[in-house]
Amino acid sequence: MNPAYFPALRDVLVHGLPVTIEVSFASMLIAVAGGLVLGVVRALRNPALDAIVIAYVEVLRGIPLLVLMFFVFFGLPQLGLHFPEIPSAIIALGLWGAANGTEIVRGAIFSIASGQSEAGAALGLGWLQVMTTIVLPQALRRMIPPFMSLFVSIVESSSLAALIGVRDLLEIVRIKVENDATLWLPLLISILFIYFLINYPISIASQRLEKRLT
Amino acid sequence: MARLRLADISKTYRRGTAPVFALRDVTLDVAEGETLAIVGPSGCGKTTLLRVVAGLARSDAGSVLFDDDEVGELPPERRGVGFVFQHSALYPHMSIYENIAFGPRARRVSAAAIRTSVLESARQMRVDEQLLPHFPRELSGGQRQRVALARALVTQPAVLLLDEPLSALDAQLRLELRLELARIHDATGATTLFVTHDQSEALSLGRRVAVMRDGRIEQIGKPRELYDAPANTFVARFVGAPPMALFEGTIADGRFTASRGFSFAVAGAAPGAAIAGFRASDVRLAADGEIRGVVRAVEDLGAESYAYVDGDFGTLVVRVAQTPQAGERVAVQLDPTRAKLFDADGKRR
Repeated sequence: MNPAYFPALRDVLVHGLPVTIEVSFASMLIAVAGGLVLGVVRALRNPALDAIVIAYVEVLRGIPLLVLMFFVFFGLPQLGLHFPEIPSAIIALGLWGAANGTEIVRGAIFSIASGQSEAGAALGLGWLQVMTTIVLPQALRRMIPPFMSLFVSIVESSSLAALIGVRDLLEIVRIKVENDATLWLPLLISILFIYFLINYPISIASQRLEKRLT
Repeated sequence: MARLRLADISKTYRRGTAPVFALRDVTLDVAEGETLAIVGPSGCGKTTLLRVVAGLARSDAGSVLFDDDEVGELPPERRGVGFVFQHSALYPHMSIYENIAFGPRARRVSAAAIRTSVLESARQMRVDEQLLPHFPRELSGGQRQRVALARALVTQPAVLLLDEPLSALDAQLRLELRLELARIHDATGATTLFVTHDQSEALSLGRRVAVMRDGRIEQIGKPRELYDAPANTFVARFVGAPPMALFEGTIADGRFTASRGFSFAVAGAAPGAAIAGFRASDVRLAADGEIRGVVRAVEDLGAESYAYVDGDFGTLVVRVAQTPQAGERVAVQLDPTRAKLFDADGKRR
């Protein structure tokens, strides 16, 4: 075993892992919050708002995530908007996650039988009350499994941030191998395990929740 | 409770490019505390009509009046209706108690008052108090509909709207709940619109019955009136089972002559093309009968039996005392005094 491995791994864990978690977690929050707001907006069935949200969702889902990240980090400064590396990665990954989250929320809301909200309206509830007391409580359960797999994708995709200089797991590995290329294989295998250890609990939680809720 | 009046309700929607008339000039008057059943084949507009009364759908024209208040422009939550759906539409994430308490809670009534009215309503619908903490998925179909009724009635709505509440249940339960609905109506005195495609349900529950077809009301009347004096051939065939047999023919010189086969005397009928209708109970098998045919099938329902007789004239359903064999040649005698006569276009003469 290369004696440089353990100090290198220590740096990967101490410096890289928190950054990967920070970028992933912040992006998840944006994905959920943005997805809920835009998904509920879609449920309003207002043609003008629909058009705006559809355009947002389709554009963000239609371009490669890496291109989006480059756009935020290298493109926006030319328009006078400067973001450091980590916020740039979070903005790009969060906006991409929110687009996917919108589709998850919209799908879950529309999967609740229309009779449910009509029964609420007939009982004397306004649109907002029907949404918050009848539709969303039921729809939230159906959103959990697809959101879990979106979270897994977000963790995986956070490694793209290395390409705009975010010092996440992958970037720290790349820095460590600059002096010693023999570290490539052991360090890559190490971060494979780390990614797996982050994602596996999410998958397990998803399966559990799916079983409990269906 | 309120008197419900509908005046000239019309509604069109587009299927592809062609306009579909869901409702055409529907006018109705339901007295306070009355049950009006609306019956018709699927797609006749009966459910759409109910949704217009509830405010879940908008009509293009016409007015909806609860007592003297025009409610056509009000959203459903401000109309004060109780609605029971074919598939109960109970909230799966709430207990039975919470389901029933839902309407009163939305009205911000005090917790104690809510509890009293929920228990009262559950008792009235014979929902066992022990079921209240349970969830809808733990209940049978019949119990669910009782809960749905309790949920609809607990707020004491101006009008109770029932959209095929029994059709998702099995036959025995349907009959049981049908009697329950009659009892509940007597107990609450709710002004009720009851939509069904089952004519026996409509006749049994409606003090009056409206028969709908293609978005129009073909006839409104007491069950007996619809049965004895159908306004047209559609109502004649839709009300009563088995359906009335209809024969085209002409009336001349005081006799109706069917275009194929037989004739009988009709006193005082104006001459011209006509349709004669006979119910299964208006005809019988008799050796000297004027109509001859072959028994195609026999339906033995226990209490009564019907023979389906094929001949030149088409098919005639005959109520029989002793069941003939399929394939047997028989003679059928009509009771001319029971004949229902219609114009060639189907209107009652």
